Amino acid sequence: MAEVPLHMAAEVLSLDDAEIPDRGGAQAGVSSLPNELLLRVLEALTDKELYSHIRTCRAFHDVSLHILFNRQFKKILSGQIHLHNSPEYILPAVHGALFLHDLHDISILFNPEAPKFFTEMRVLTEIIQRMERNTRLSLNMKRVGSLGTLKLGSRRSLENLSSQYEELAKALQGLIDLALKKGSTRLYVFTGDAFKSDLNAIGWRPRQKTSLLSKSVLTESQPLEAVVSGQPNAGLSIVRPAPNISNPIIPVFPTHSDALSPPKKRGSIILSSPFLFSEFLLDWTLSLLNYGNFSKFEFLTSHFEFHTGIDTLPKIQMDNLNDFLFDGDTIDPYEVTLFLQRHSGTLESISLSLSRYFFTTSWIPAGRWCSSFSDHPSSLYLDFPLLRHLAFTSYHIPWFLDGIMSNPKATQFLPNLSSLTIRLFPDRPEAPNLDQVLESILSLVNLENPGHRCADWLSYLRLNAKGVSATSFIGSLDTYIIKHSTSGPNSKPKVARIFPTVQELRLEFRFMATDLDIFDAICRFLAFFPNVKRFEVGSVSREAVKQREGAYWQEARVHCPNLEEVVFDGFAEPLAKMDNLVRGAF
Amino acid sequence: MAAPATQQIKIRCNDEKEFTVDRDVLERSVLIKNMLEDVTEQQDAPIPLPNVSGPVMAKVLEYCTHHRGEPLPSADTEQSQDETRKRTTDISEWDQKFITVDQEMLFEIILAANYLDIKSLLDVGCKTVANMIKGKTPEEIRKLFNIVNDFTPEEEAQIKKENEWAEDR
Repeated sequence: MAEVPLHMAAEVLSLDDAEIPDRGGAQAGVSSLPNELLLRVLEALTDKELYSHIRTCRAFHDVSLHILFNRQFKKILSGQIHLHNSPEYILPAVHGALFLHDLHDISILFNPEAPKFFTEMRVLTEIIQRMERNTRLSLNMKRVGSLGTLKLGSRRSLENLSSQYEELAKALQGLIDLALKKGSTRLYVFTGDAFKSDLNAIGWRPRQKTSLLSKSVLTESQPLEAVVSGQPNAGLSIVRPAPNISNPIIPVFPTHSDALSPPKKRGSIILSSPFLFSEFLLDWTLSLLNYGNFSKFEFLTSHFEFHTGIDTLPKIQMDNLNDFLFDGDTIDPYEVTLFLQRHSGTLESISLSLSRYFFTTSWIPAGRWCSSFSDHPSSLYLDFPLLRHLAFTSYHIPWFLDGIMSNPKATQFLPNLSSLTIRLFPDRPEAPNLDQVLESILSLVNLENPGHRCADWLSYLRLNAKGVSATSFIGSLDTYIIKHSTSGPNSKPKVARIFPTVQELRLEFRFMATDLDIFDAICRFLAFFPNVKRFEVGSVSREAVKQREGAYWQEARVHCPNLEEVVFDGFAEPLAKMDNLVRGAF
Repeated sequence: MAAPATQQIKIRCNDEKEFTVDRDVLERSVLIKNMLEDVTEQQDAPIPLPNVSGPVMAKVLEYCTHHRGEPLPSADTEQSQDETRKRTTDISEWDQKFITVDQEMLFEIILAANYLDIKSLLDVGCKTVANMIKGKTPEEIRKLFNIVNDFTPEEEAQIKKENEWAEDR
């Protein structure tokens, strides 16, 4: 027999060496199990058991949540949501998953605490509203014992209780009608006896011996058959022969306006709730993005704990993304850039409402930090052939412009951009000031270079100076006006650099402007926008406007002969009124 | 020349303890099976297993010997989670007796089964731990497995708040 070649033995050894885990001499126990083994152990448990074990320790918490979310996720993919024993923080995630087209089966075990209960009702209403169809809806209210056991917090009073209950009754009816409208053939409502008699007390009359929600929920006119389900102690199964609901009741809960719009073929995803332990949830929710055919992505948070979860952003690819809104503090600009670049072919609207933390937080890993786009590898550039709306902060401008300008293939920069919103941060020395911002915009228009010129570029410009002090902003305006006027600021100035395409201009301030200096500055500033038809001013007090009346706009009219409407934040001065205001002046 | 039907393989554990075992018994371990497939010729040098101690290996070999000849589960027959859960208590009588060991040995066996890639033994071990966990409160679990509660008081309060309604009271 031949000897084992030495090099082979060595290979085997080195393989093993690499896999020796450092157990530090500790005794073997649950704590010595790596997460993938703990996962194996805990996967044998039911959802309910997992929820209880979340509290054991960090490893159990993380692994249990991971399993729970994955189970939920699989159910959603197969068309079902079961919210039994789900803490309310799962709901927003489910909410985000609504546009998985096959979702048609929902069951929920309601929370006995009033605030959570009503949140669940509201979210459920939204969920069903957004669904294309619903075949089965199961509402389990067994935990909601009775009127008195709903914990209503400090405002506990009989009056409050009964109004809450009426609200509940209406919401229930709304939910059920909605489900029927979406094609439900099976509806289940499970309650305890106390709950039933409570509903009785406020005028809900369940049919004798059947369940709670028979005739009372389903109004007499509707051709529905109510059948007692086989479930012990309450429960109703409604078999629906032919759907013909004439007046569906709109659920009474205030819903997000988006939720009231008819379901679209393609969905939006909106993440807005802060969570304490969010990484798993966020990863999980964001992973949905790769499955659904979403056209809109909104991420709204100021929650600092998101930065670990947001590592998912680089992995997301949404085929038909048109609308991207990101309002979060803790995101690496590099990742945002990559994300934007990957989706540049379809994006029509980008809104980056990031705060100054975007560029100042220290957690951004060294080497990933970029104060300008040129810090990125040279192969990166931004190219948005379809982009119409762009909103970002002055911090982003160098970063963004670099990205646009460095595009070697571009013959036109942002050929379709018509709306630009910029949030100014001139109080920070590292942020571009108003002058630099406006110069940047002009360099994008690139009037001097006909090859890159876009004729109908930018009809709407909004400058949001809410983060700027009044004095500083007036100062910036004055500096800009003086710098770019060919004559003195107080005689009729001839401005050198104009924005000829802007037809709508909006200026906003942090303060309620009562200081009339700002009006003078604004009026002179209008000279740079000779073709403005509509001018909006935010955060101006009505008194301030009245003080100046028509005379105030005289100069504005001179600069902007096409001015048709001036709108002050919260109250509009239509053309007629405007004419009254300025009649004396002209 | 074809290998003899009952080829003997030597293994050496991290405490220098050596075993000489029939090849088909050892091949319950996917790790060792793959190693042996890589080595085409008969070898005399023992296979080093630096992650497993002698006493644990003895237990593992006891398991492998009992189950020798049974078909190996193929790598991609992943059971669905529901199936896994349903089969929690589904441990054969022999396996149950076999796995009735002290806690340290139980976890050593699980780690060894994971390292050696013996799926059925890993399942038995994990199910046993799951059965120990079932029906216990977090406090009882911590006590049972000597787990340190590593949440901050704030985190604990928050988790409790978010989950208390889900518990039976």
